[in-house]
Amino acid sequence: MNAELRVFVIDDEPIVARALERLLRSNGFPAEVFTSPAAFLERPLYEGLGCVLLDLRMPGLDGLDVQQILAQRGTPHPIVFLSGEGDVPSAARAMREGALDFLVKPVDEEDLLAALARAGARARALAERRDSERRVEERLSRLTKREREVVELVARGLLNKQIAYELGTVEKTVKVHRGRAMKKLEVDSVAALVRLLATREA
Amino acid sequence: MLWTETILPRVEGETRASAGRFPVGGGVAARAPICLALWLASSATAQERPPRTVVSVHPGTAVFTDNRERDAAIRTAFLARADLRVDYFAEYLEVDRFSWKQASLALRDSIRRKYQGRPIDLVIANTTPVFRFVLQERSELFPDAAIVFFGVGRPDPSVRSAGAGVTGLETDAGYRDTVALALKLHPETERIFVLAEGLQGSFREMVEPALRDLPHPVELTYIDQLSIDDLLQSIRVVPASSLVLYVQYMQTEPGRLLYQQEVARLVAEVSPVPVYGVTESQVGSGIVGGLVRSPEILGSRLGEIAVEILDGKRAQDIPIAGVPLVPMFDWRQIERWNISPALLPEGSVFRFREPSAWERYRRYILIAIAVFALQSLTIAALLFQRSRRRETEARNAAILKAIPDRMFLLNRDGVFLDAHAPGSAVESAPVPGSHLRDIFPADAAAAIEEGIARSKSGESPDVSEYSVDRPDGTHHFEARVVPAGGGHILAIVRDITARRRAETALHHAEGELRRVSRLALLGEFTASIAHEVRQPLTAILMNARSCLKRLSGEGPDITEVEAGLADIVDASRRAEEVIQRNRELFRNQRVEKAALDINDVVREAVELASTRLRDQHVQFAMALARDLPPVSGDRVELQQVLLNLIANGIEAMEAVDPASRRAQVSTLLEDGGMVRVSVSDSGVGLEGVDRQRLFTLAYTTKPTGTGVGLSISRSIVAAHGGRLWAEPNEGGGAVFHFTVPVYGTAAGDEEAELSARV
Repeated sequence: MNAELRVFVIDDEPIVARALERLLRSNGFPAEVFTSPAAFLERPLYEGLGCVLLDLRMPGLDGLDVQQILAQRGTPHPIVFLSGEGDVPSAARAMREGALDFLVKPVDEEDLLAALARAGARARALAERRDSERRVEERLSRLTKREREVVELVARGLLNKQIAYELGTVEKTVKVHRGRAMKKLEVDSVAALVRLLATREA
Repeated sequence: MLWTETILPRVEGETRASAGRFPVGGGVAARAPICLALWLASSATAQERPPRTVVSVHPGTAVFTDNRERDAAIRTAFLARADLRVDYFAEYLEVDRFSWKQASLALRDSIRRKYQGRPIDLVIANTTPVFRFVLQERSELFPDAAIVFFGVGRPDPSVRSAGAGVTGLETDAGYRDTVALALKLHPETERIFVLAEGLQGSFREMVEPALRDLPHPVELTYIDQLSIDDLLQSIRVVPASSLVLYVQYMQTEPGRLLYQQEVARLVAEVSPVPVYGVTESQVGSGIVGGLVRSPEILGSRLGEIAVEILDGKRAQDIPIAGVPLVPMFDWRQIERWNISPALLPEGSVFRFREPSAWERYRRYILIAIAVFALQSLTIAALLFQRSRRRETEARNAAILKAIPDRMFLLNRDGVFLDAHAPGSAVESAPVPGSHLRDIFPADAAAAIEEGIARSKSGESPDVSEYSVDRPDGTHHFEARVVPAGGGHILAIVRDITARRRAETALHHAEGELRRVSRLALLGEFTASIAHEVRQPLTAILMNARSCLKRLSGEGPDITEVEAGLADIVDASRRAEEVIQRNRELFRNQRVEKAALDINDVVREAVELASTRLRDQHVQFAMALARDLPPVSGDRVELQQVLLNLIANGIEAMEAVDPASRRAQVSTLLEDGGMVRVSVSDSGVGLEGVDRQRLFTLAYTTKPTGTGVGLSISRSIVAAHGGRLWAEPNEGGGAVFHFTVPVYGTAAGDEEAELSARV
């Protein structure tokens, strides 16, 4: 299971980075090590499940800078911070910005593995959500423009008659669009339709 | 002189008459003895010249003022020449009482008899009638005499016919000048009454020609022939716009003999208008004055001419000269007629001028003014001074009111003389006469009395401090004692409680700040070390873990384990390096060494700690060895050690009764080129203290301590090449010793390092 999660280690201290890599590998994680943030940021986005182990204090860009850049890019990997000391303001900021965990060196193996387990879970959840979103999008793309409009209004709870009025057509036509759209979207109830659209919006 | 005018009209007839009377032969007969006398005189001159005979003939009598003054002036001229031996005689042709004929015959006979056998060398003929007489009798009476005359008015034609041996003076009568002046002084004058009556008739013909064609047209009225009473009656009623010119007025009534000055007096008495005159003798009789002839001037000029002739000059070689008139006035009349003195001629002589009070008492007045001015100045100065003093007093009172201090004036025995006590520095306000000890608490009174004993004039005030316990806490006072002169003492007592409290609070705050900053410094220091050590530590830990995992798993990957172990070794070296580097950091802090007097260093440190010692009521003593050699060290660092040790001592005594808090700093020279400094206290001592750990970092027995002080102190002392250690104090408490090498010894020169710090 650990093999699913690729861990990107960013630490300017080579011996620490190397030790982390060794520890991760010995626990079955595929690990990639970077001794500067820039090197990591140049790497193409990893499509699979990933997680970033980020050192807080580094010359040049520090951990918090890297976190900000990844958030802007929409990188889907959870971030676990590693810090030399318990710097409370930095930790607070990191967590507020969406860090998954904040570990203090010298970090214990169990703590690290627990954090990585949570990171894996988060990464998986994120991946699943992305998949379902993608699926909804794929189904929605099958609809014609008119069908899409009808579906949107159905999801808002409007009756066929009301939809016809909104769209300037007759109820019978609405019924036809609605039937086709439901079929294309592979849903059999209004509730399922609403859930599907909500997935996309989240 | 007036006689000239009076007598002149009749002289000619008489002269002619007498000329025919004396036969020429009589003159020749009389000449022989004179020639003999001259011969005798000239032969006598060869050895000693006989005295010369000068006869001066005056008209009238000797009592006439003019005659008297003129005669005196002539004599004065002779007297001025002591080398001239002169026999001087005065004779009088008494034409005032007798007819010219009778008078001249009488005088001729008199002279003839009187001067028998005495040749006359020089004759002075005063006035024209006398001149006539002299010329007439010349051949008989004065055959060889030189003749000096003076006449008034127009030149006498007989002078020209007199021939050689004659000279003299001709003076102006002054009528015209006097009238002109009078008209100038009284421009509104319309008439002038001219009084001109001679002894033998009117004198009008003499005056009239002189007053012809006056510059100011006035009517001239001549008064003569009148009796004195009629004259006075006429003068009494003259109009206001007129003047009177008194030439002269001889009485005409037989049996009523008045001199002409006396008539002038009567006229001036009754005249409603100013009366002017022409002779000096008239001035004083009531007339205003005028341009007058002065007998004194005439006399001295006649005398001078006579002297010239006696000196050998020939009379005919001396030209006939004039004599100036003198503007002379009666000051009383000038004032009476309101005549402005400014209009009078320059050089006017004022008679009867009462010197003014200013003139008479000028000196006294000046002195009085000076005295008065001086007095005024003194009074002004005193007033000024008084106002200044009042200002000063008011200002001093204001200052006194504003000063919160209490001031006492005492004598040297401590008895109050005066007091200014705005607050309640003492239990009750001191009453003059009470004693220090009656008012002040015992120790305060003692402090002030000691101050009095110590204080000397001219030196700065003796300052002592004392405290008084009050229900609201202890109050602190500062007493300044200074001699105030006159054996008095001024004591100024100031409540310094607030200042003391502020000082204490500040001191506590400073102490707290020092402790906090020490903590902060320590925290920062440890943080920096921690961060650097943590990195290799993390690496070690994680590598060890992964090695363990590899080894426990199936088919251990030896290569991986080896790599991990190699990294562990690396990381361990890294950690060691960090520690090493930090040690180097301290190693670089070398002590700046200088030659120091350790006793000075101690004194300065004690001075810095004095407030704290006093606050904590610590009885402090110093026992400093004399003649210590200089030590090698850094003044500030050694003081830091001393302050640390003193502070530790004070803190160790906090739990001890204040009465038994004692501390001491001592210095002494040890063997081996070291000076030992010891700080002892009577605190809780070293009971239960780990003396091994006492000087290590972060070891503390105090609730608020950081555990840094002694550790740093030991580092500093070590850096100096000395030693710091602690012992129990005899009689309780602790004593800390440290040593510093003597300057110039091997121990002092070697480069000691602060190796004990980390």
